[in-house]
Amino acid sequence: MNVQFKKGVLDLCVLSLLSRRACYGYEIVHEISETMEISEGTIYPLLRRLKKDGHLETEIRESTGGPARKYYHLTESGRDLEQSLREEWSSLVRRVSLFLGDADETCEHEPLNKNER
Amino acid sequence: MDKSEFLERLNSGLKDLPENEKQEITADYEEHFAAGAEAGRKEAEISAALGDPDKIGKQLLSASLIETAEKTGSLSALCRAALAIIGLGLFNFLIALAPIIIAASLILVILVCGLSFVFGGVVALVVSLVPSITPADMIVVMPSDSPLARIALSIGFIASGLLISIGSIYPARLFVRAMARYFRMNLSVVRRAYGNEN
Repeated sequence: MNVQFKKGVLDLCVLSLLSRRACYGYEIVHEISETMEISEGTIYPLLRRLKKDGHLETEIRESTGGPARKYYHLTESGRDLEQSLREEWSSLVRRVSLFLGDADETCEHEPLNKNER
Repeated sequence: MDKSEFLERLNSGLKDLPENEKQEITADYEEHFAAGAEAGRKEAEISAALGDPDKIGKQLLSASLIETAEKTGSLSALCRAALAIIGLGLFNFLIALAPIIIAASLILVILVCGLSFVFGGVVALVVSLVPSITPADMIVVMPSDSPLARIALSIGFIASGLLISIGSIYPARLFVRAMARYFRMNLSVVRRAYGNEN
């Protein structure tokens, strides 16, 4: 996948994963890398940034048999950010698919700028 | 690269960070290696997937330095952040440093101006207090012959010089904060791009 495509959606993917359930670092990296090819080490700086900006909180949980793990979960502002990024993403996808489709047809059926009709 | 080499190289890039942050970061990657091992992956495999520890270090370092610069207005933190960012190849040297150098020069001019006032005032004060030590070839031109008026004038000069010098700190701090914000805005976009290299 194109580098520029991925850069914008990495935050959204991490936030969306955490909106479903709290995860520990390795889990987040693992899930994201299943979907897109990333340099796994850069997820941690991203998590630190989201935490510093108040979108995430962490707690240490004991695991059965293994060492304790740091779990990440969304805060209220993290949920808001996830929601707004998600909306931005769907609206972008909608517009781009529309544009990539038959341009004439697109203009007839659903003009991007309604004033032009 | 095994786990210890990865952590060592990461840590060597984080020297400038506060101790507690360094420990937190190391703990995160140690946990990652442990979880990877539990999943049956080899250390070399895990570290290869993580990416270049030098780059990750610079990334973490610049983020932390920018935060410091934005909070405290520290020029030194700002310069070190700029260097780390340049090291990542994210910013052109001139784009990152030119505004810093121009602003630093302007602020230096104000500072030198203020210090000159202080120096002039001190010389005038000494000459007014002890006229006998005035060098033979020095011509003292002051608006009044009364020693008291001369002393008052000298002290006035020193005081206004100090005010100008101290005053130069405020625009400096303001500028450092603005630059740090500018870096952060740019990096929040670029930093995400980093998720895909290597």
